[in-house]
This record gives sequence, C-alpha cells and structure tokens, in this order.
Amino acid sequence: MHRKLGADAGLTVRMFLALFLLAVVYLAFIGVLLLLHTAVALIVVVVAVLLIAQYFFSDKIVLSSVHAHLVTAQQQPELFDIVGRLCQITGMPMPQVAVIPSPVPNALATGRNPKHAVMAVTTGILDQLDPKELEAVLAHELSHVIHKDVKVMAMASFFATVAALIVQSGMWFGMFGGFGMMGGGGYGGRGRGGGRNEGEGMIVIILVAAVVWAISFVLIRALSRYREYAADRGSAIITREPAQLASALQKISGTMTRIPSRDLRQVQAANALMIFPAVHMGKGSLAEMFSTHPSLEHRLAKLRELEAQLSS
Amino acid sequence: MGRTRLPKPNEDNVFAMSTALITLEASASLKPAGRVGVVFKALPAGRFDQLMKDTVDMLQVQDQTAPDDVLQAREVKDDLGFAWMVVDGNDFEALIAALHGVAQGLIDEGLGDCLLASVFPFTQDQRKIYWIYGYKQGTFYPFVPNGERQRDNAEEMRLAAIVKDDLPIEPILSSWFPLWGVPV
Repeated sequence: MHRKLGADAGLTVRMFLALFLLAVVYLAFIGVLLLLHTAVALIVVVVAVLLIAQYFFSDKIVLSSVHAHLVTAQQQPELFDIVGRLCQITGMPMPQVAVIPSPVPNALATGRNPKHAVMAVTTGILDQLDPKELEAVLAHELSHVIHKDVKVMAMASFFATVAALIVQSGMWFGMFGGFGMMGGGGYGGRGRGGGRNEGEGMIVIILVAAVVWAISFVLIRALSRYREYAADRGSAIITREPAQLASALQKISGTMTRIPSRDLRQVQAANALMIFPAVHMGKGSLAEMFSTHPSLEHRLAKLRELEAQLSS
Repeated sequence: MGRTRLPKPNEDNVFAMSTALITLEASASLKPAGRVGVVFKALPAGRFDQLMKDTVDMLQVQDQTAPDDVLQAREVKDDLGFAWMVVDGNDFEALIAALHGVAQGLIDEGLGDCLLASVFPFTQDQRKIYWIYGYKQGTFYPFVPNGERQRDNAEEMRLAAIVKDDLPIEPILSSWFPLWGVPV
C-alpha cells in the first residue's frame, strides 16, 4: 500500500531556525564591519571571489583530493544501473559517476547543482554492501544533490570563513607593531581622531569575528546534521526501504556499532562485567553538538520511525 | 563508587512479547514456532536437574486445570556446553507465563545471574527467526540467521522497527549477540 511520507515539520523547522540564526549572526557581523573598518570589507570581497571560484570548481577539487576517477557504464554496469534507476524515480539528470580506490566504505555526492553533479563511491563500499543497501546509500547521496546541500552549506560557511580569516589576520598583524598601523588612513587619518581609535576598532572587530566564528561553528554543524537527517529521509522516500539504509549505515560505520556476530554464550563472561553500556553519543551530548553528522544511533532510530510509518 | 554491582535481572518485560505477537503476526508474517527456550550459565551442581523437575511438576499441575494447552519441558545441552530448558506448547501466553515462573523462581533464590537469555522462535514463510530476550538489560532484540554464521541485518532492523512501541528493544546494536545453532 503506497503512502506518501508526510513532511517532517520538526526537521524543517530546526533547519530554518539554524539558517535564520546564522543569518542574524552574519548580519550583525556585517553591521560591525561597516561601522568600524571598511578596509576589512576588502577581505570580504577577496574571500567572496575565492569562494565563488571554489564553488565552481568544488567538484573537481573534491574528486581530485580523494583520487576519484570517473567511470563509464561499461566499466561499472551495476553501479550505473542503480544510479540510473534512482534518477528515473526522482526525475533527476544522470550525474557523473566516479570510483575512489579505497577500502574504507564511503560514498559522496558533490557539484554545485544537479546538472553538474558527481556521485562517487569507494571500492570498499562496493565490496561490503548488498545491492539494495548500496541503492539506499546512493539515494541518500542523490538527496543531497536534490536538496542542493553543497550550495547551502557553502553559503552558510561563507561568513564563518571570513570571520575566521579576520581573526587570524588580526592576530598576525597584531604581532607586528600594534594595531595603530592598521587600516587605510594610517596615523591620525580616517577622520576619527587617530591611531588609538584604529587600534580599538581593530580589537573590536577581532573579538566580534571570534564570537561570530564560534557561534557559526556550532550552528553550521547543527545545520549539517539536520541536512544529513534530511538526506536519510530522502533516501527512505526514494527507496521506500529505510531498513536497507539502516543496515548499510551500521555496516559502514565501523565495528563498534555493528550488529555483532560473536555468540552471546561466548561473550557472557565479559557481559557480566559490563555495568554500564559502552559510552555512546546520547541525545544532546556535548560531543554530538560539535559533529557534522548525527550519531549513528540517532540516525538508526529515525530510520526505524520512518520504517514504522511506511509499514502502517 | 568503587563497588561493583551487577545489573538486576528484569524478568517482567518478557510479558511484552504477548502484545508484540499481534503486531509481528500482522506486519511481519511471523508465526510462533510452538516453543520457547531459556539458556542458563553456570548453575550450581544439581540445580538444573532440580529446576527441570520443578518445572515439569508445575506444568503437570497446569495440565490438569487446562488439559487442552499442554506444555512440556525438556532439557537440551547445546554445542557449547550450555544448559537449555525448552518448553513446548501451542499456547503462547502460557509459554511466556511458564518462562516467567522459571525465571522468577531462580531470581527469588538469588540465582538470577544464572539466567542468560530467553529465546522465542518464530517461522516466517520458510525460515526461522528468533527474538532473544536478555535478562540483564531486560530488552529484546531480533536474530535472523541467514546461512552459515550470517545474519540478515536488514530484516532484523525492520523487525525492530515494527515492534518498537510494543517491546523494549535493546538500543545498543553491538549488544545484539546471536546464538548460533540455537537448539530451539
């Protein structure tokens, strides 16, 4: 019985909230920049140019950094089959497909928009996953493309990058002869009464930049996690089999969280000494706040919920 | 604070299986296989024989009150040398009650640590799947063997999802230990 998965209102709200808070932080930052020191705006322009360049070349940069090489349908017929089927279901244009020679199971999608997307998989993931599990993982990656996550995350990190650069350059300049030397007008220039104001202005900017960077660090990571959940959801909607993604995730996440194959009877002696379960990231734990991906346990719990929704 | 305390066995959660059965039958086509098993570890010498005798006696009493729902207890030793008690019968609720009675008796005696797990076998079309109940955590997890020392993890995840509201499912996946060659 087919049933469309309803929109996950809570997830959408959280994503928009994270984006909104980021926007507020950045607008405040721009305000401070404009108020105090227009030369810093030059840094912003330079960074903007760099980031735009990165945006256009991001797929090539990412792929070459992981030594991915593009493959054809003849070289990887089954892989192309799966990707092709997913594109048919979603109405997406066929992306380029690449293979990364690595035993670590992983998959990634990159590219600034669906027409310039690349899906890459490691040889490790091709070895370890069943076809249906692989399909679920690729559906997750395709969801990132559909949701334009590369673009969103690039925009979100833009001002954080600027802030980080300002902090760094401020510290660097600060070491070489004091803040009085900074800026366009030099000593006594800029109409505000001299070097002292320049120095104070610079300190304020650096402090603000540091705060902006710290807050956006946390917010960007939150945003990244929510978009991972959204891609998991996307995979469930596309394949209608969230259990396959759950199975794939726990296979590729490493041995600690895998469903084990050691027999209970052989483990029982060790079991008896386990007073508390092995530490894992619980809801709201500090470690999870700083990570770009939600914990495996949380993703699996969400996937179980989706499974329950789909089978009802 | 320096004192080692082993977790208390949670025998009451077994009863959740009778509500879960309805969901499992409807959503996963599982049918009870007509028996349950309990595996013990390191019972004191002779204690297991006593347990078997007591259980057989208890079931005979029940037999007289409800002769249609016959339960039979038997002992099995598995390949790893562990002692099992297997109770055969078609009344699922009665099986769970018998299981609970056995466990409760041991716990009352302070031998609760000897309870390793209970196993509820089901058939799903042609294959056997198991729900394992761990006494230490008081939680259930599915076990779907799929060939020689292989498990169908996807199906296990699916089953756990289906009954997540009916059963206390073991949240830590790395605690879903299998029982290869389970004699139930």
